[in-house]
Amino acid sequence: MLRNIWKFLLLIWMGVVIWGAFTYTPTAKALGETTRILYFHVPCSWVATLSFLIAAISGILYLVKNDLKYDLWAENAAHLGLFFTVLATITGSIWAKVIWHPFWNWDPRETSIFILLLIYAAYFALRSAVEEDEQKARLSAVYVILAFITVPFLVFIVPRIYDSLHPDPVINAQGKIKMNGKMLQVFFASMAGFTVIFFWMLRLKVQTALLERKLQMRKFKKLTENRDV
Amino acid sequence: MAHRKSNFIHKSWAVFRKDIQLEFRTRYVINAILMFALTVLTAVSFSIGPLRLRVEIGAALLWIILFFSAMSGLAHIFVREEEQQTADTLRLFSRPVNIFLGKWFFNLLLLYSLEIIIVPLYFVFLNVPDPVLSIFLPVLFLGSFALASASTLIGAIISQASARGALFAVLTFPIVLPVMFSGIHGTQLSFARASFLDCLSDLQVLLSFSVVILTGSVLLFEFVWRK
Amino acid sequence: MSDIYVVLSVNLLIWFSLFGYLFALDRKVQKLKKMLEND
Repeated sequence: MLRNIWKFLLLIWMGVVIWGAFTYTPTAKALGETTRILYFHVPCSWVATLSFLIAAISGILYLVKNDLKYDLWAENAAHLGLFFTVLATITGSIWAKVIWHPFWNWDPRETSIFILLLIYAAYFALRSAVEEDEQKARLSAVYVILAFITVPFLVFIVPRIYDSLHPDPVINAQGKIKMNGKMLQVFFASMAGFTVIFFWMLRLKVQTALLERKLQMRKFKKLTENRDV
Repeated sequence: MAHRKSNFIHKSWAVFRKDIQLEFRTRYVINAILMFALTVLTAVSFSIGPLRLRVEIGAALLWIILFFSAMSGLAHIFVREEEQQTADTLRLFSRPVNIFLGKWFFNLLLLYSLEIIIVPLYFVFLNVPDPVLSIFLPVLFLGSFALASASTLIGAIISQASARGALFAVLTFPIVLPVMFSGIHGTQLSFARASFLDCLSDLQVLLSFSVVILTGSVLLFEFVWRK
Repeated sequence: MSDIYVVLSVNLLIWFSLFGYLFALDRKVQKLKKMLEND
């Protein structure tokens, strides 16, 4: 029970974050009450990007060490990445609709998150097109690494081409964060909470996959044992 | 020292020569890629008619045509090896680095050859402004360089997968987005009669992207190629 | 005033899907553990 105490702490932590987001923090002038979405939407984007990093690192580890467990980490990180990218896109879109009316604007942040979505989709398309496990792991590792090294270019280019509709005068998550003290506290608390949730989910997923494999191997063993008898 | 270096280039060149000789005999992929590009160009030109295109749209159309033409042909040198089952023999004879460089050079030449024909036709069929050549040509050259470089590694990846045609475009598009952005933007500048200095950032991006992608591809190709 | 409902619905969406995902994951782990014990 003591091992699981961190789960309860996490629950309380996020509860406080949510309460803080709704009552403790002030609102930004241009955005009104919708400012509060920031404490939930931005962490989703952050986790989506973090998943990408984890998947790329797992890919490198697989290519170096040739252990399929790294492929498991990569695949499940990508699953979660896709999940959080969709969440970030939807919540961002809702936010955009409320403030600037169109659901989609192709401004730099929206474009970046959409590109991330494309990369994850491409990753899974590749995986489903390859049958053999080792080959699947190898090729998808190469792809996710290749995709990852293009990220610096995207970060540099995307803001240049289009004018940003993201509320830069108030919130600029990439450069200086022009949020006041209270906002910053809740913001970073939320980011930390989401990160912990992410790693928890990732670990759960990898554990599940390993258990499934154990089960499969046991079934296989049983089958072959029975045939011998 | 000089001997080892020339041996390296010699080996890559040997891979390239084999591919180009085969291609000269059959002319398979150059025809396919050319017909595809012509079809797209004709379709676009027919649909738009004599309308004068806005600078942004004209630039975008050019790179769309180039991208999809690349997608129709640049995986061929790997797919052919798999389909004709010559890949394993190739594995015995050459090192991955040489194989990659030889095939990369083939793709580069293929794309440039296509452009020699298609780009002038593009200006014939579509009503776009006359470009500032000092901007247009470097952007086209570097952009195609980047496009071919990225496509080669991904072509190698999909040659080992099923559903290759669609998969190639799906995998390549997110990777070459920086090339598309900068290529289109640079081409726009050439149509809008900007000065050369304006396009420097685009050229910078294209050049650095090419360097990074090529380096990455050379390092990663070995993992794709080994079985 | 209606803005706050937007924020609330965004929150609902996030927490609902997150907890749904977590719950499904947890159930799967429990099920698998049970299957392994039974074997």
